[in-house]
Amino acid sequence: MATVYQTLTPGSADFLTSAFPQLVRSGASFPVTGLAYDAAIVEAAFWQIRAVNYGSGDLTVDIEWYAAVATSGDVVWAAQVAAMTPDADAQDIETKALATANTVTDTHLGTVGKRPHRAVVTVTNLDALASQDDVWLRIARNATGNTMAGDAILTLATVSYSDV
Amino acid sequence: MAVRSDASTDRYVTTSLFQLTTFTILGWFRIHASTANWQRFWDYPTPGLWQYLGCDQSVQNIIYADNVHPAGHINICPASVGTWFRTALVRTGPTATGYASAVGNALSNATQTGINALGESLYIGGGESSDEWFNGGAAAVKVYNAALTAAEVEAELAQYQPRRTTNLTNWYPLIVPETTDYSGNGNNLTAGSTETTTEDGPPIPWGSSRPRLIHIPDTGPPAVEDPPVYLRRVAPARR
Repeated sequence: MATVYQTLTPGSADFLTSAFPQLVRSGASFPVTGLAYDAAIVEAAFWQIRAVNYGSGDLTVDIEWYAAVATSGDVVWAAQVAAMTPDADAQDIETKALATANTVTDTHLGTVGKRPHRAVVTVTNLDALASQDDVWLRIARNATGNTMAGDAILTLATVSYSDV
Repeated sequence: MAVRSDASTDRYVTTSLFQLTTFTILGWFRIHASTANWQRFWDYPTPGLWQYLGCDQSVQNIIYADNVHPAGHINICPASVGTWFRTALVRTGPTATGYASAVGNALSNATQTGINALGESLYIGGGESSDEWFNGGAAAVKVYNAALTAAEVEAELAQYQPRRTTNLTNWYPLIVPETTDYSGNGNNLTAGSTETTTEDGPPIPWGSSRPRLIHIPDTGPPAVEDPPVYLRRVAPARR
């Protein structure tokens, strides 16, 4: 039994043509690249992975983030997937829909606005995920439930799952 | 993010590209409003021998214009206010092919021949002429001293980071207002007399790096086992 981790960087994210988080770069001693999710509108980024050695169970999506300006408040993160099995699924890939999103509310820990946080979304809506499937992961910041002002900047996402 | 120009003095300039006649200039641009004149996304002129990529006065078309064809510029694709456009100009001697499309659309192209323009300074986010300034955003500007193929143009416009590094002479991500040339050639920009601001940029990723996979066993033997140890049978000592 093992856990498989796939790390997803902001620089490799893909987007639809509207409502997407902005790519930002900052950092005094080393480059901090992130995706800045707006507070007022739902913005989403996408990654495509292959479910290498996926066994069973939920996906865990860790979202590393920090606040652009705020020092308090809640951020609601949403993760959802679409899974397709090559040579088996007859669904048109261009019209394929995502499964229902799972969400988590993460609260800013205060004191320092730009301190890093980790939000963990358990993705239970797996879209009949099977080993070696092609998976599209959408990570969004929900507008509903957000009480944190300003951008939430995603610096890394990690998808993990069991291989049995 | 992207850098926003809203005045004739917001333009950036580099003198690193001296009289190139074979080159490719790529970049994303968004027009915010029409102005009293034509707008230049970039401008690569010498006095009397000019060329630029931009839009016409009423923002009808993305255009490439040069001194040989002052009234006969080429229309590359329809333009509109508030939309990000990916653009490229590939010039090989007297022939230039312009590529452009609104975000999400297929690239259009148009070719102009008989060009004799010679650039000495490259202006970005405006032009040498102060009355044909650019009112809009710019991002992901790259310059090659080579003619890229249509497939290479398509690939380079799909992300900020250059895929091809051969012949790359200048690379300005323009995520923030900065003058650094990220190509490694030191061809930094000189900012205009007024400071540019930032705005939301085009929907492209920084680069094309793929996700990294890590496989960690929870229990049982480690993923990389130590080499087995074989014990040599030793004959019992004789008495």
